[in-house]
Amino acid sequence: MSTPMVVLGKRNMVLVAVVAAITIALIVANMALGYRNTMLRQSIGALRSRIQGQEVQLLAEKASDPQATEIEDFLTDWERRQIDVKSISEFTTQLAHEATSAGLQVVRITPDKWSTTGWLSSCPFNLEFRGTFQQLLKFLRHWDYVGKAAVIHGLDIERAAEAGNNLQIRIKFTVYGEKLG
Amino acid sequence: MSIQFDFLPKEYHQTNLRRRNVPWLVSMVLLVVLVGSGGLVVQMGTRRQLWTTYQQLTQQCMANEVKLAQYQHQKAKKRDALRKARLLQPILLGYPRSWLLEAIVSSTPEDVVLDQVRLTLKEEQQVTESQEAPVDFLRSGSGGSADKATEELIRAQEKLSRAWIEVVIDGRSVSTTAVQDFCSQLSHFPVIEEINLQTVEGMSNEKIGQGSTHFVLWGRCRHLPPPAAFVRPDQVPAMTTGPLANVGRHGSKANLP
Repeated sequence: MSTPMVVLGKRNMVLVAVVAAITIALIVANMALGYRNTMLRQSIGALRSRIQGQEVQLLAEKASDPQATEIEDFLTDWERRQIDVKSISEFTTQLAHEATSAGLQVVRITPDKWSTTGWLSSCPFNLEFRGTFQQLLKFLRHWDYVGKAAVIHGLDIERAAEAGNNLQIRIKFTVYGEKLG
Repeated sequence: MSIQFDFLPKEYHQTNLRRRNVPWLVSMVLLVVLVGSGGLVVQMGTRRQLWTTYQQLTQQCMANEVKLAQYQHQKAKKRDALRKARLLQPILLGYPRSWLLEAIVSSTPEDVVLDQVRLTLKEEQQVTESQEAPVDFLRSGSGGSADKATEELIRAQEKLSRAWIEVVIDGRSVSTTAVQDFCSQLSHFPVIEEINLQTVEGMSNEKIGQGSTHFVLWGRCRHLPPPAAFVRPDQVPAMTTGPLANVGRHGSKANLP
């Protein structure tokens, strides 16, 4: 007989079994590690494509937005120009001073009650002056130049008398500021 | 021809064959173990490298996520700032009233005397379909989470941004042609979108003088004019035709006190 079993003999069967077991264990271990490596490679591939996508997005985000600076400047300007409850008396005094400087005769400056809508507070004003058109124009030019956060709702210029160059000027406007607190 | 006789027992041959096979078997087993172990070592080395790469990439990915989150935050802040700026536009960017008065006075011919000038801001009540777009824009991005007060503010500012400045000029002139020229001069300013002669009436000789005409001009311009119309009165090219092309261009000849 020339079969291996016969050739090796029964007493070597244990040895053969051990060798076979080692071989199978090695093959299984290799396969398991190979499988895990393949999975890891797939994860790395997925990560790389994700990073690529992120970098494209980052580049797009990094690209400077020209409007951003403009908006920032606009809001800084607003901070400077707004009038709040605290600065109202200073504003009123300044207004009277500017009108007098322009040559106008201040008849009345009457601030009304503050009201708030959302985060914006507003206070209506009534002004009454007397003076010439050129004086009014000088005052309004200064007003526009200083540019406080105010909207003129009504401007009424009327001759104070039939003769003479004096005008009666009434201005209704509202000042705005952010709600405090 | 010779005849060989084998007198050795069968067990002797088996033992001999087994002894001769041992080195071959040992080398085969060693080869299998070596190949298997070598494979394992290579696989583990590869795994270590791959794991390091994976960790590096994970860190990079997380860093990118953080950066993107920061950018998103900045973007949200910018969006809020833009929305705020748009709400503030009607307050800060209205057409200067001094420019409007300059336009009126520089257009006034010598023969015209102004008795009253009234500028009134009027909010438009009826909203056309095309005008609704800015409202949608102001509300976009709020995700419907804007509270009632903010909605109210948006509506108020929207009304203000669409508001018109109504111009009413009450005056007198000895010449009706001068009144027409005054009207024509005013319509020359791009900011003034509409100007009409509302009233013309003759006045008695005793009151003002011979052939005096009382008139009322009505016009309107936008509180927030389009950029093309947002020009200083002195930047508007002077009318080159007509007898009153340069009358009162610098306001010096205007017949207001």
